[in-house]
Amino acid sequence: MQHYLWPYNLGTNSVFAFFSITLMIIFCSVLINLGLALQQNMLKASGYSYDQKIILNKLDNITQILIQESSRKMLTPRMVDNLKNDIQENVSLLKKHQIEIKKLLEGNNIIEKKSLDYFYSYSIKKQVDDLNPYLEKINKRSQYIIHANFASLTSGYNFWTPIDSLSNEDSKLLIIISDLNQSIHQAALNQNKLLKILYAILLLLALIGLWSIWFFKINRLNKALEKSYLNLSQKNETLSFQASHDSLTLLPNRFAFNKRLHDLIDENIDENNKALNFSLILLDIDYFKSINDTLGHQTGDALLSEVAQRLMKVINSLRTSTTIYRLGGDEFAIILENIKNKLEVQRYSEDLMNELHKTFTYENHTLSISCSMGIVFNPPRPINSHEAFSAADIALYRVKENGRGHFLFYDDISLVPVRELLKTENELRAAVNNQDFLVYYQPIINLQTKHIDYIEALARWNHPQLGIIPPSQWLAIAERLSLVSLSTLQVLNKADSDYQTWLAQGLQLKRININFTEALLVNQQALQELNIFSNQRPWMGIEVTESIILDRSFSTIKKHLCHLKKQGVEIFLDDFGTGFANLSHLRELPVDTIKIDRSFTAELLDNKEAQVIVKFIIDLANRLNKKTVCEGVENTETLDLLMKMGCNYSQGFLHSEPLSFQNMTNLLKRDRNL
Amino acid sequence: MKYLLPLLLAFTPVSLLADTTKPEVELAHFWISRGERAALQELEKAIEQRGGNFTNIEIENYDKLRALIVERLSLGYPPAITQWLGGDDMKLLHEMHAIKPLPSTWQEQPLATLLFPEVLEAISLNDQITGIPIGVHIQNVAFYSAKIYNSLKLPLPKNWSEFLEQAKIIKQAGYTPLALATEPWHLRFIFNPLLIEKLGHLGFKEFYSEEKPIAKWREGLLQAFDIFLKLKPYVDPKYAHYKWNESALLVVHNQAAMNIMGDFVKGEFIAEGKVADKDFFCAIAPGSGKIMIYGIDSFITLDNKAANLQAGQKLLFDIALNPEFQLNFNIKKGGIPILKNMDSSRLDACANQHYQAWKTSKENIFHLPDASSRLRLTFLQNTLQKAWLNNLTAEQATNELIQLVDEALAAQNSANH
Repeated sequence: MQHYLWPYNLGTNSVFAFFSITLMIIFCSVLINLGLALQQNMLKASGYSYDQKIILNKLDNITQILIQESSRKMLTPRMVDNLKNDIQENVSLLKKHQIEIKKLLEGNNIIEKKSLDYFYSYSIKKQVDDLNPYLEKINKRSQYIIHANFASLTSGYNFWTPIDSLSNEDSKLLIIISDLNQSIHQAALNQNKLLKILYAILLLLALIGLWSIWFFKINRLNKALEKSYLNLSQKNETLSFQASHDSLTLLPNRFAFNKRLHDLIDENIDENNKALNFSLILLDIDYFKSINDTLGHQTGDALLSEVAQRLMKVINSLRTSTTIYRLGGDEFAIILENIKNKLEVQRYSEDLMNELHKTFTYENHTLSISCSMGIVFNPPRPINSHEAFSAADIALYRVKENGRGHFLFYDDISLVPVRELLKTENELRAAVNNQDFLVYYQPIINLQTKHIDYIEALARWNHPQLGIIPPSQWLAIAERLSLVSLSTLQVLNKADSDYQTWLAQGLQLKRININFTEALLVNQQALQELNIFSNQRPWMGIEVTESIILDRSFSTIKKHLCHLKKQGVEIFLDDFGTGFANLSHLRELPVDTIKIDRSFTAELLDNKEAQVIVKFIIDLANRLNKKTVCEGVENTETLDLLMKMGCNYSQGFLHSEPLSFQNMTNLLKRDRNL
Repeated sequence: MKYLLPLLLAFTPVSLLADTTKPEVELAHFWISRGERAALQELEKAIEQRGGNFTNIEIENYDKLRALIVERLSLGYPPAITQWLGGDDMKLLHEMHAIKPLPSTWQEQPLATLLFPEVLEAISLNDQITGIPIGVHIQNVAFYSAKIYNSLKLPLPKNWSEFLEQAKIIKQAGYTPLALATEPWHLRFIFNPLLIEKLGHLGFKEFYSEEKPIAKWREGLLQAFDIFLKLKPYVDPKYAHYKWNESALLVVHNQAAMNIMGDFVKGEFIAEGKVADKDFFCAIAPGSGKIMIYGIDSFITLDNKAANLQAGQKLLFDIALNPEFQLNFNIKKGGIPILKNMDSSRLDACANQHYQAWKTSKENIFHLPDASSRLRLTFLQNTLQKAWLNNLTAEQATNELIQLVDEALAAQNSANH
């Protein structure tokens, strides 16, 4: 038992007090019992005494029947016998009662005897004894009558003369018995008074006992319980605060956010046609991962706290009801309620952004950060909390895709409404599960031999209604839904089986290139599930986009790529030149081949700068001992130019569009002159 | 000898026991005259013939008997059977649940088929048989000395003026015309036939209705009192020394010409060996016409636990309704039997005459105004006595009686309101 639940021990004093009260109650009860017993004796004695009166009266009546001359005439021997019997019976009853009364007044045991001596005056006993001579006379008279025959009894006056005087004493006897009866009655009444007092004392003691129990025990226990309840409720409050708040920033957490969002949307479900009157902002700190990685978690945490404080500062300046939530990591959510003007939300978002763009100082570090925000303004009904969140998330993704550091309203970007997007999501999930992905192949031509050295495998979604959909339209969604590893696996398996088929037909290839997304390359577990590091696919080449260089997990990606490179996997850097890559990264990355982005190729003929850049990239690659592929080659002029510039490979519609397995097989056969 | 004592001892309790198992007829009554005692002997004889014991409890008169019975019922030791009047008195004990109900059949015959309806009514309360009937008495019966009436060649008088005429002649001849006894009720017995004559049958009945005033009968009462007071010179001057039976003997012994006491007086004639229609004449009293005022002798049985007493009660009931006993008893007692279908030829001329009259003229019989009209009886009796002794005029007596009754009724009415 916890100390605070029962903090009070039974003290010696209270034990003594309870013991004393109990003893007193017992003593009182015994006295009352004794009193009741004595009173019962009195009542019995009173009853017997009253009976005596009745018996005497009866004896007197019987005697009168015998004595009165007129009455004597209506007597027969039979009646006289009955009379005698009755006299005998009543006289013995009288004696018996006398003995009983004496016994009752003397008490049955020593305690009763003593108590009776104490409570009742000597006079009662004396009165009882005073009766004896009279009763003896009555007995004598009765015996006289009983032993006379019928003739004597009906003979008249002469028979009665000797006992005339005795019958005169009847009335005296009656008076004495009446007095005795009165005395006994009075004694019983006196005793009643005493009993009343005893009852009152007993009641008082019981009340004192109860009151003490309440005051000393129940009251204290009650207080202790109250205290422990308070303790518990405080703890409860803390726990519930902790459950709904983030411990680092003390902001409400994802749990609280979900609840609030749910309340805002789903609880107001009946106002179906009205737009909801709130805005949701999802906020990510750009490249927070690398801050954490490079400056340590302490700095990261300090930064998050500071961010929270700055956000709070902006929020506090706002009139409307606004709440900031930390959803996890560097993710924050802000719910602004009752802002009807989109411009206001925009201004507010700018305030937030500007506040965060101010430099942070932590210990000796001075940091400049930026943030990306996806915003949903007054989401239209019908919508649920999940859909609202998704909309903001999509907007945020779009910001990230477009270079980060700014904000975007969902309704400004959405080509497809959220609801349709969600439909897409669900269909995409179903497609992954049903393996609805097709693999198309586009050849990469060796510009010296003019033959197909590599093939890029391109995943296509075979949509049941919309037909073939290219990755540009669903890859971002698949990434968000973490479906990429599964879709990639399907591509890998298909490519594997197709490669084996071609090999069997004598159609040799250097590599089949598979596109790996950044998210996939970061995720070691997914990579292992794909069995990438097992060297089971000697035909496999990997294409990664230049944007990996900018990824917060670049080092992890680099590590994984190095690992793959060691196993002999050829690595192609896709979309090179679009602006993200730092040339120094080319040196760090284990890239075999650089794929020059189609935007350069497209402008190559008309744009001198493009020519300079492409020539420079090709030269740089040569010097770094890497090969180059030009993407998007659509005419022979471009191809000629590229060949002059020393480009190694070409890919594009000039050679072939992406082809199905069968068509690719035919193309390969033609290429190999088979 | 050695075995005799134990044998005797062994038999003694059995013989004693035999006594207590014998039916015991323990009867309290007020039959004390010679005629009544003779009749009672008939009962005792009948009891003993049937193996019962008779315990005789004699009380002087009904008033004393009644008081003692009421006292014993409260104190205990009442007799098993007692003589009792029907009407209010029987009702009183019945309501006290003191009376033990009797069977409604006698030897498997319903009492209704055996008894005169008036008799059955007198012993029934709330559909229960509460009394044992023993005889019917006619009250307004006059007895005449055959010797006096024959010697003076007088016919039996039909009305009171005729009797007053005869009285002069009888008195001149040295006889007492009318025998009177010292008991006050006797005056009333004489006055009743006078009342019937003056008020008529219905008037007489109404006069005895306790709740009705009597002022409307003033004229009749005046006439009745007038004749009543005119009788004074024709009674024995020593009448105050005679009890009713002694007074009756005056006629028995031909010293007086007539008495009006009721048929029970006949017992006294019979006891003296006189024969009806030879030594004495009997007839319904002058003025009565055919009206007969009757009373019924009955017993009640009281609760008792002793088996022999209960058997005695049963035995008495058995005897009382026996036709043979009825004949023997009523011949001695002077009344007529209670049974409807009897061979009355064995009754004497007097009783037979009354029995036949009773059987045939039902409208003319009138129940003895006794227990049910006690107050009016008392008023009348007191007034009669006062008038007779204090020389009141007829008018004074009439006024006094009317006043007594009116005041009592007024008091009753004010109490009721």
